[in-house]
Amino acid sequence: MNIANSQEEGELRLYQLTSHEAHELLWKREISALELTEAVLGRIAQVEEQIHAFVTVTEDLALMQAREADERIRAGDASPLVGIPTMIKDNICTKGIATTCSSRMLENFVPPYDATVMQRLNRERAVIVGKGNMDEFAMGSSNEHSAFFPTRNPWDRERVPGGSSGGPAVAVATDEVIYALGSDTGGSIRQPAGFCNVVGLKPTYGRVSRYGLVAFASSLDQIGPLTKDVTDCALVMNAIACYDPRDSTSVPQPTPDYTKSLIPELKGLRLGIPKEYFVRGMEAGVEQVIWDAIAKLEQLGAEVEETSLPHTRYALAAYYIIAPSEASANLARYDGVKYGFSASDAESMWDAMDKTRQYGFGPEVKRRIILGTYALSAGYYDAYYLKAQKVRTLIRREFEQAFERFDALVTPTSPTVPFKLGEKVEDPLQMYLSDVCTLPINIAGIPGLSIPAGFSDGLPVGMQILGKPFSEETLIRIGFAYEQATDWHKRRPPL
Amino acid sequence: MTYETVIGLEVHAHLLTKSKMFCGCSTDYANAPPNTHVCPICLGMPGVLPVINWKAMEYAVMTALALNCTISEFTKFDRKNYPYPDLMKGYQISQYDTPLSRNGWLEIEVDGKRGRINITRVHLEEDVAKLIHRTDPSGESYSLVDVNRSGIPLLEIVSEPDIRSPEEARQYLMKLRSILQYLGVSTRNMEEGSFRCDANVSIRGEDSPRYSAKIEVKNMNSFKAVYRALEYEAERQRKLLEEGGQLVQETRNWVEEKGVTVAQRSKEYAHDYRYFPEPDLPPLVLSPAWVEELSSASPSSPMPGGSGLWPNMACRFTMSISSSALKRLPLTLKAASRFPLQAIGLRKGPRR
Ligand SMILES: [Zn+2]
Repeated sequence: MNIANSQEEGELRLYQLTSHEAHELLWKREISALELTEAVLGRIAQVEEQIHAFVTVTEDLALMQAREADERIRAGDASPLVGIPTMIKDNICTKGIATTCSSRMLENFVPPYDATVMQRLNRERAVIVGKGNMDEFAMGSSNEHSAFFPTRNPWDRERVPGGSSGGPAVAVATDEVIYALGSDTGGSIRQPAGFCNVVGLKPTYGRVSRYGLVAFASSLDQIGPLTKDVTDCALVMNAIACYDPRDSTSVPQPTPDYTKSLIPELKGLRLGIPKEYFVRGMEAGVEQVIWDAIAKLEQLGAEVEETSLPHTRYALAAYYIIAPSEASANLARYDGVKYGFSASDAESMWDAMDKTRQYGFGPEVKRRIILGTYALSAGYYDAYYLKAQKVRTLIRREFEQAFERFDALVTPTSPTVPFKLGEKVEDPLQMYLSDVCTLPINIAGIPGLSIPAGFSDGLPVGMQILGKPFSEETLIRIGFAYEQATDWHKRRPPL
Repeated sequence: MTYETVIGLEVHAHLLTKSKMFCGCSTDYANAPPNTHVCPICLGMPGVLPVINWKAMEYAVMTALALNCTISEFTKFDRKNYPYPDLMKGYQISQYDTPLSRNGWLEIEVDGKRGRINITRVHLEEDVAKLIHRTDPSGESYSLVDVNRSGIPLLEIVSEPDIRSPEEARQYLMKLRSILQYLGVSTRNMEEGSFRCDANVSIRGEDSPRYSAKIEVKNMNSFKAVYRALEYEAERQRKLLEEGGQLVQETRNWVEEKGVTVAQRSKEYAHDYRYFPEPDLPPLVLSPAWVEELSSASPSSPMPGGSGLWPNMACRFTMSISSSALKRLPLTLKAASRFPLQAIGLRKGPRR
């Protein structure tokens, strides 16, 4: 490998490394964690103005952690993530570092505790470079609903990076960090990963602890990695996946070594292509990329067959009942009494609570709180919430049946390439439709991996691979085999 | 005309667990300075999650068995949503349509006559924080929040409207408290706020088939207060009806110093609680073996006090879940066992 920290063309720079590449160099003492962190901070200084991926850059902390990591490496610590700079989505609680959820409501909120995933990363001596921009409280698909500023898509800065984990996806795509943690409630890791040409995994519900993830929709939320390649995805999963007694929905299942699934062939693997995911309104260029990718999987030894999941079309409606209902309760705690924003111009207790929420929340958050409150109201519960739960059971069963025949399902991650800023922000329904391929996966609680699959009109297209619960190993194997046979994931935006 | 008084009681009792219902904070806050027995969980910080204290589950089931209740094999927690500054999360974790037990009874004796008071349900929930209202010298009023109490396990015991007099209500409460003390699950008293009681009171003319509107009476802080408040409220309703007035369903607070009940402002009780299953806590299966174990671990001698009352520990165990309740669950048992997502909570949490 030809490494350089200079600005010369054609040389690989430190910040361009993947985690596994950086780990190898750190371990051989060819680079130090401090050099790597400085390179990353330099890269942030160079490109951040153009893309706005960070809410907070924790430069001092990162340099301190890098020095500590170097000591640990000298002492023989071979943890794969030791000394590797990362970004954390701003809805994952970081002790002593502001965790804003890109909302005015939590702009000044500094958690007194670490999320379980942060404890895991800290134990590995990861280097925290900062917190990633997102749609407010993870509600959105474009990062335009950040209360602070929209993150830009590095492939075309007039376009959105996807959301809600837009900051993390863009930071990884532009080499501002080596990898990132995001959260996914309806596609919030996979859709931006697809839009930015990086790898994004939403693990099985219960695989990664939600303790410390600021809740949007508790039965759908899951933390997962955004990485430059599938190998890194496996490494980060090794670090963050665990049973956590502090999360009662976490599943006490041993964590496998995901790197054992990095096998570059697919012989005998049965892949289903559910036709409902090739929705009306899907762009021809995207469809072409996905079919080409599927052909490649076939070449690699997979058996491919078309299939049908007819209940898919009800997923969007069910999602937009369940997620806002849970959100309406989860966001009730923001009343200005205990922490976060508090309106100062109030005349009474009720007035203070009303004004706090009126000023503290943005329009999309309010929209969803109102939707959810309505759906749970007396007289409407059976028609909305209960009905949606029934649909949820049907969708789960349908996936369950599909996985009796197939090892995995392959779909597009999104029906379109990244759309223009402002294009859908005034039309919530159009915005919601951009998650039509990803949200059934949260409804079912199954894992979904998005990997770079090609380009349409110069913009990235993601391929989504789905499996039964706790089949992350299969998804990683398929992703890895595809990645070994292609080089889409190596393309970087011109910044 | 003579009137019959009809009373139902809703009792809330703190359970004597070492730690709170959903976090590890100590419950021993009686003499502690405000906001010292708190953590991110009972403060309702962003991102925290509840974990069930199984000691509280044990105490609740023991009490339910002593009150002759049927233990539900299948139970779950729900979110009860209402905004108030004493509620850290903006919702209370409670139990709605699948309480952990139903259909019990308690025997009382008044004037040498024995009678049964039926018990609708016994369920678990968490207590809320304490608000302390103050007025400063300039006349400005404000409230202070003490979160120590937030998250203390609370047993709710709801009686049927089988109580016919303030004296019967007092006997019922005394018996109930002595059972809780006997079992060792709750020994504190009403004055501390660890054993609280709300009442539903209505009256019916002897020849009238209809009861008056149901009036809820709150804020009674001693057995004596309950007696006085019920006596006052029955009399108030009788007078009102006799003067040709109309009773409307409302919530009234007992004002001890003045010896009267006063209607609450409507905003304080006109809530649609929008209950839905708590997604952070998977539904629970209480195995018959576990319930049996608890039932045999309970005190094995009759209660002292001479009443001959002997908490019935016979374990009656049925699937007491209604079909409509089943439909509210996120998953049916069958679906869950085939597809282990959001697995039903067969594993028990910490006992603390
Ligand atoms: Zn606590």
